[in-house]
Amino acid sequence: MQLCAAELIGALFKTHTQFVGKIVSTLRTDTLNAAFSSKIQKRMKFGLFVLDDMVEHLGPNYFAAEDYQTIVQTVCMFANNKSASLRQASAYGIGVIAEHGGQSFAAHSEHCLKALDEAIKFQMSGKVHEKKEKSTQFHHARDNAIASLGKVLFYQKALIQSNKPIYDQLAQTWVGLLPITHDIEEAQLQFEFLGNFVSQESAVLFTADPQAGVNQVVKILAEAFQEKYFTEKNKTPMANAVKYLNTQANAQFMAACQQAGMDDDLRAHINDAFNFQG
Amino acid sequence: MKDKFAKYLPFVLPSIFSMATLNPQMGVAGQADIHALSDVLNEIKPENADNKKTSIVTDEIEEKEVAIQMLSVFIDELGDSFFEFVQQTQTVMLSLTNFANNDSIRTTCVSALPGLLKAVKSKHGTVDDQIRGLARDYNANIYKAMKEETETECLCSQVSAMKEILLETGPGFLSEAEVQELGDSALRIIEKSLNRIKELDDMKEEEQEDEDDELD
Repeated sequence: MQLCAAELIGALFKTHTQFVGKIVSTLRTDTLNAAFSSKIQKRMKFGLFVLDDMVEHLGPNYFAAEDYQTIVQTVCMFANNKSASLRQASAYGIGVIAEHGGQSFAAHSEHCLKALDEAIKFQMSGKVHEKKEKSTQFHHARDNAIASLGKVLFYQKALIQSNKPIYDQLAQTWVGLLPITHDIEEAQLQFEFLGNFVSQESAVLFTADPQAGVNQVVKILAEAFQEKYFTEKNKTPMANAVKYLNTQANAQFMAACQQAGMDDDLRAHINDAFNFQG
Repeated sequence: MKDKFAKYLPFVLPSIFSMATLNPQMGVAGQADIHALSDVLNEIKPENADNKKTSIVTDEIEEKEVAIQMLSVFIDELGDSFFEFVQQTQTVMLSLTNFANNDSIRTTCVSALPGLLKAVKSKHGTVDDQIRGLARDYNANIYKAMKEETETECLCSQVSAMKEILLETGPGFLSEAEVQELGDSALRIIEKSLNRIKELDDMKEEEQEDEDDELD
């Protein structure tokens, strides 16, 4: 019920930004404080949903700098929470902060990246592993953290590229963690990012160890180029990435298609991508 | 199939509308007459019953529900091809968002309203005054139904329908006062939800205490 109400509030933020001042004020002074101090998972999840909507629809300029910082820190605080649904909401929120934070992200990037690192490295416990539902929730949380790392690279490209070692490290980490396969919606966007990334930023992926880089990218694209991941926007970039590798690194590309783990189905996906005419 | 199917709607819909507008009746043993279901249920409801609505299933209600679900699927699947039937369908749906005797019917009807708005929007190609007028009527109807609603799932569907309608109509649909009112409603829903959770927790604690007493 609270999440339904949170969605309604989010829709008001999105469509009537200029009129929501009092609602934002009530939320910040009463409702959210109560939610987060309750330590009750469902209430904290509601709180994170509202904060994610505030960042997405109202943006950093709506708030005083220190208030926005509090919002970002609150979102990040749950990235290593033992509750998978809170980790997921937090990780998703960090992606939203990267996407909608604009230049203000620079002030929070370190904090956000550290939080994402913790979310990605969060270990699955034996109890979670035993229960399918819990295990699925765990993977969704992790997928969202990986996806948000991709969003930082994509939406905050200029900022991250200004520090080459960090850029190289983040890009390689992100590609090393793909493909994500549980949160299909997030996967679809990440595969679009990757398709563009391979064509536009090949140096960062393939300079240190070209064969390993191509192997990993081919493995991801082979998983990604199938119906359940397709959107209107991601087929062409993925197909272009396959064609790019075939042209620019043919020997490595051919070897990658024969690497361990690539079966006939996966090779067929690569073939489909290669023959795709957008 | 969309348009290929839509051409059959004039032949299919009349019987579905008459099923959807069935007025279920019921009799009480020992009395000769049968009456509208809601009247009978009000008669036989214990005086000390709480405010919760009674959800029942009879053959007629089941038939009514199936018809409404079919309408709902047509709306979602056919989009602007359903435009011609929006007027008649909304009359049915709006009259049943507070249907006292079955929560599933209330939920399906309210959830269908954004789809009707989408069908009109898709036909018009833009959000115009007619769509804003429809959206206002729908929201007013939902808002009224929400005040009487006792089932959490229905309330959730009502709030979601309002959200969908808001997103369909977009910026400029509501005045500042209306935004404030809707925001306050959302906050009240949250408050109520928290109170319900607290009540349930308290009840659990009381039950636990009772069990402990027995052990003593």
